[in-house]
Amino acid sequence: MAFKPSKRKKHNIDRAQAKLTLNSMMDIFIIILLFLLKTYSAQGHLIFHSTKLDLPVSSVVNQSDVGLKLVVTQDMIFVEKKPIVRMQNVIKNSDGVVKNGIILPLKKVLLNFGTKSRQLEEKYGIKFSGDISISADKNLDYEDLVKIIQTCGNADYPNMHLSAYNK
Amino acid sequence: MAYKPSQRRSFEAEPTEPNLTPIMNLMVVLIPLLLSSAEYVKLGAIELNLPPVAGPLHTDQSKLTEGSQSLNLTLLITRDAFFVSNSLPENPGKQMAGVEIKREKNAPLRALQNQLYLIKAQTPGYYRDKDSITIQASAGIKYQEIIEVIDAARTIKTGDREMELFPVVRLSAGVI
Repeated sequence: MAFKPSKRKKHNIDRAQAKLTLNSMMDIFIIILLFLLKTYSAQGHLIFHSTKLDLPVSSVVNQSDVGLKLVVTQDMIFVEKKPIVRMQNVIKNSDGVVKNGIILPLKKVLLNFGTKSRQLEEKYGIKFSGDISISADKNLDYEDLVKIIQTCGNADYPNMHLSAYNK
Repeated sequence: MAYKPSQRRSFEAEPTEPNLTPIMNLMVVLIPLLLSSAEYVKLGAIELNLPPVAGPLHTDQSKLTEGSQSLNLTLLITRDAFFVSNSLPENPGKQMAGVEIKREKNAPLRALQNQLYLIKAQTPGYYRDKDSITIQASAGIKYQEIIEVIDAARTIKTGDREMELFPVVRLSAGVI
């Protein structure tokens, strides 16, 4: 014999009024996005394509994020994301920009950073290692690269690390 | 005569949920767009040293004691060739002191690596700079070429294993 249908159960649900709750889905989306970004950043670097900065390719696997960040694009030299000097003036050895193979504005900025780092070393014991990481465009000429290296060496940053894409 | 109270004012607002569908649509479009415009790559760093500031140009190697002798390995890069020089004692028939290696299009660095491998094999272990190489290039040589040469000078692949050649790289301040 069949049982009598339960009175407690709602047998006549109005399905037309059921709503899709997107709040929880949004939460999941955000968590997944954050998780993915965190995972990727642990494995590699997020690089945005730029026609002005294309790093060379190398087989080295050493860590690249060391010390002060110096970026040399086709147009401009940046130190810690601040534009310092136009490459055009460096290439042309313009007066007041390059003297005896030293890029004067760059040297000034590096010396400033060096002085601040030494002050930090004295005050808080954070050791100044003289490390600098150079990310330069692969089409940079050797003579311009030498100017940059000479300037770094001259401005208390002798420990240079050339950044490159890993093969 | 007083106006009749507005019926709109007495209307109680029902609790409404924000419509998240457009935001979701935006997210679904934006995330793939951002991910496709970015690229995840691994970065490496080549440690670079400056060459010694000053030193005697010519030293009599025979008068030096063990541990004070130096290899002075130098590699010059030009458009057409590599020039490798060092301070190893002359070895008849091996042409070790100064060698020109033509740059070939198909295998541009293999010949250079072989020459460096020979030098490494000949270098006694007590040489001060037995792991160092100084690189100098002519004007117009691109940074990518320098990096390729540095890579070639650091290690060589022999069969399945990788052997270290001259991992300490110095870049000369001079331009040929």
